[in-house]
Amino acid sequence: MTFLLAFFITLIVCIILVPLVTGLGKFFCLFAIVQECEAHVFLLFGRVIGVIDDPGLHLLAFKIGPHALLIRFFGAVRRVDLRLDQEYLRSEPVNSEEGTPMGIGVWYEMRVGSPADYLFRNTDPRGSLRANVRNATVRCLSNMPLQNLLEDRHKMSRRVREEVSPKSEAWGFHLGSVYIRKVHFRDDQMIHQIEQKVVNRLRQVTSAIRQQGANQVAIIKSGAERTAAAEFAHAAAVRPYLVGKAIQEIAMDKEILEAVFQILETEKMLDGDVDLALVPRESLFARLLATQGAALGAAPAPQ
Amino acid sequence: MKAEAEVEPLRWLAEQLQLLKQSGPEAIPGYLRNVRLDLYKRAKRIILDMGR
Repeated sequence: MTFLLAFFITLIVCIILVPLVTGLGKFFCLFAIVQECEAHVFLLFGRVIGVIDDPGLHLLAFKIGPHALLIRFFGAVRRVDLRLDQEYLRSEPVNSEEGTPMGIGVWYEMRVGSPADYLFRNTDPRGSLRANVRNATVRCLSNMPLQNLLEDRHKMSRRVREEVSPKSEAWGFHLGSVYIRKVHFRDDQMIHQIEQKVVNRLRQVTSAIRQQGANQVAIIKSGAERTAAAEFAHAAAVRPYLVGKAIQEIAMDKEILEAVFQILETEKMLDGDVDLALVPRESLFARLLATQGAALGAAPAPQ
Repeated sequence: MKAEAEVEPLRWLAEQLQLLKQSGPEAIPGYLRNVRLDLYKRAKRIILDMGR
């Protein structure tokens, strides 16, 4: 009984006391829990007294010092997101060396490198970085030869990044990759003319490919026809020998030869488009027909 | 090739008739008569000798 009573009292005390102690510790900045890709900036009397960007549990009295206990009353804790962020600037206007009005699309990624600088050195660090990338793009990429603008994006990306990176570091930003994602013409008439040229060129190329294909087909066809003609001629030449030889073999038995030809003749008569008249073999009419040589298809009557 | 293809049916037919002949002396004449029966279906005119 005593054990159960002690158990329940302990349980209830733990349920109430543990969150209470934890909350008080957190409120009075006895400890701080820092999440992944997050930084805590601790301020006291308007000064930054510590920055923690390692994820985990930190006892502030050991990390910053005993004066951490005063942060709740005379200071503040600011949280800064350290995750990678991206931005895309569309159609930044530049002119090529030849004077062509071009538009550049720049994509860049950045993350906070120095939380204290990010918070206090610039009221709008993102806006400044955006303006800086925009300015660097226009300055670095203007007056480049048009061919380089259209072809060499890696080099252009590197130039913009080299230009922007030192300034972004001063505002607490660490600039990541910079990509020139799009280079396009801004003048509608020029775009139309280029499209027309591309279409014409494609037509020429398509026509040339079609003609080349037709030529190759003609060559192959003529070659195949020549080979086929030779093969047909050869086959025609050997036909009498082969057929005659086969018939000679069949003729070893006269009765078989006779039967074969009777069957074949009957089949030809059945397949042919002729008018058939069946006449008894020994009849007078048959003899008359034989003497007159009438052009009438006749077959011997079945025996 | 074409000539060989033309000859092969002749050979096969002769072989089959040879086998048929071995079954009896009346086999081949009977078979030929049977083949010619189809002529009656195709014939436009048939003249019969009523005296026979």
